[in-house]
Amino acid sequence: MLEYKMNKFNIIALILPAFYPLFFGTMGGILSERVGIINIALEGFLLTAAFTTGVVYYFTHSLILSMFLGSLASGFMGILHWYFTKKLNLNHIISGLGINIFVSGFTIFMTSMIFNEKRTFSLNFEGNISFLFFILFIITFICVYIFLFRTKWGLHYRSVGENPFQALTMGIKINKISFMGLFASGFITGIGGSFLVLQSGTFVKDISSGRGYIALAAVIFGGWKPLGATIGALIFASFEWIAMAFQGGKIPTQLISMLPYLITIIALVGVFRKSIPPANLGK
Amino acid sequence: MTNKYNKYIFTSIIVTALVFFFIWLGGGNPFTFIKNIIIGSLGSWDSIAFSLQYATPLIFTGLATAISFRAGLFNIGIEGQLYMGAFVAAMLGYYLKISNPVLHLSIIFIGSFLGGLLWALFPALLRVYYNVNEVISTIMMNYIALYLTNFFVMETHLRVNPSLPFTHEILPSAVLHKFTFLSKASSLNTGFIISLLIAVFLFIMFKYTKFGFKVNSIGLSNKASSYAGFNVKKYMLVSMLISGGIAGLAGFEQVCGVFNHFVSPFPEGYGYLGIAVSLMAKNNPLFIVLTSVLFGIFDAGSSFVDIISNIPREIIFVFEGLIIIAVSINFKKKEVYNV
Repeated sequence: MLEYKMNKFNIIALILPAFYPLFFGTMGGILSERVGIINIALEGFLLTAAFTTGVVYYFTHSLILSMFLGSLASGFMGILHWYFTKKLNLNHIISGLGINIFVSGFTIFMTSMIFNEKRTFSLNFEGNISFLFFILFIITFICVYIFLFRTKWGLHYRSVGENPFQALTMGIKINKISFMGLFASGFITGIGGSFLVLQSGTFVKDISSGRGYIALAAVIFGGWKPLGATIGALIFASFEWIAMAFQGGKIPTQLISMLPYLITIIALVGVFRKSIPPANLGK
Repeated sequence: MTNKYNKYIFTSIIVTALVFFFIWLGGGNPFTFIKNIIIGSLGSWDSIAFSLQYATPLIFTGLATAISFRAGLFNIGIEGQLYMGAFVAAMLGYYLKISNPVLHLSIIFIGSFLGGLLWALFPALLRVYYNVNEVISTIMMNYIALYLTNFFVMETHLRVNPSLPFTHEILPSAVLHKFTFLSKASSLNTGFIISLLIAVFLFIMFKYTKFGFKVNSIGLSNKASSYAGFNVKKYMLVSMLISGGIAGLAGFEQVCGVFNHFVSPFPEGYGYLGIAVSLMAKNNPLFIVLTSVLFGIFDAGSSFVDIISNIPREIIFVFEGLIIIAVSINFKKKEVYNV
């Protein structure tokens, strides 16, 4: 049934395209949730970055510039999420939901305004980006891991998510740290968004198609830890790949696509092991 | 004029100004846009009927959201509950051979309610007994519903035609009566009346019954309620289940009144719009009817704008996102440690 050669390397190479958006999403999710802000806006971050990257690439044909501006736009959405939750005292879920819905509409609106086309535009991008993203994946993972768990600042950072009162008495500027955290969350998630649009070469309506939620699920699955979340993202990405590879075959792909969500619920109940959220999450 | 209304006027001005700005930014004329929205939603009997038709599922999903919000729960899973309600309605509508419309529709009504309820049962149980955050679990249940119904439609023998993702057309006895005297084009149906009745019913429940009072108080303070001796777990569970059931009824209305079959993927967005509608109405069942009609007007208007100009109908999501955020802004609450 499979046309592909089934050797180890090949499978990894096939899973990676599905893995990158999820991975950068999970890193963004961890950075945000570790500082105490629930981030269901990941979906909106991915979409913002995908759209901005697409537009910038279409006009400048510069890969690096488009990716940078895409991530920056997504980082700006992160700052908005911070502003809504910390300054305007919005419920974190409502803020995230509002951002997601707004971005979903706004990208389509701008598509038709800029390109005079409804719901899709093509980038004219052709090139191999797998090496670039592999490097980015390694760098991001190491940076996030070392920052969070091996530096003084990482300890301060996590303390904001665990116990802000204590952090305050230590002289940590809570709002400043969460501001930078949310910008970083948006920026890193944005890299994944750029990948989505660069890989397919066209922007379509809701190109992120729920990957932000799966990334959040991977964060929870991995117990809010970078390594666990990356493994979660890898598992979920492999489901996505299986569902794609077996399309039209005898195995019902819908049931495989369903698995990440089912596993997340099971992980939430704590069947695998206890996964403990940051104590001050969502407050 | 009290302070309460100032905030509404303030937010509506800001939101309108932002949308105007976006349209101007994109090279359109905001005033032509507003004119077209009004023509498309209120310009003729047909368009008024369309506005009300679009408002009907929003009333259901808005009410479903309101109940869960009142109990202090975030039921984001209305989308999935609607799917299950719709799927059950399509199945019962075709496979249950009953010729009496009233009996048939009543059975489908109950079936859809139970379908949605069942989909809310699992997250509700997890929330109440395992303290699992219902936001994440209901989002996950949405996608599970999406793929599960897609599986049933695509991979089993429920399809009419192998190339189309439709289930069989429901029997004539399962079709809700359409208001053809108002408009022949739209599918405004008895479901609208049902939604109004449910809104009134819930209003009375929250205002005048012991159950409504207890749900309200649990939403306001979980701890105080349990100290007062209310069975917090029971009321949370029940309100989440009613919420799911009413979300299922939105599916019932869509299948029996509008589509007459289940299509996979089923039109999405009603669940999230329900949140906007409910937040805007401050979770008041009667106001939800008004805000739903407002969104129905936006929806019908933007569909019209989509056809005649290059502004897509997704502009409604820009409105929706801004409104969700704008009405929830709370300037007063200040954290002690907000440095």
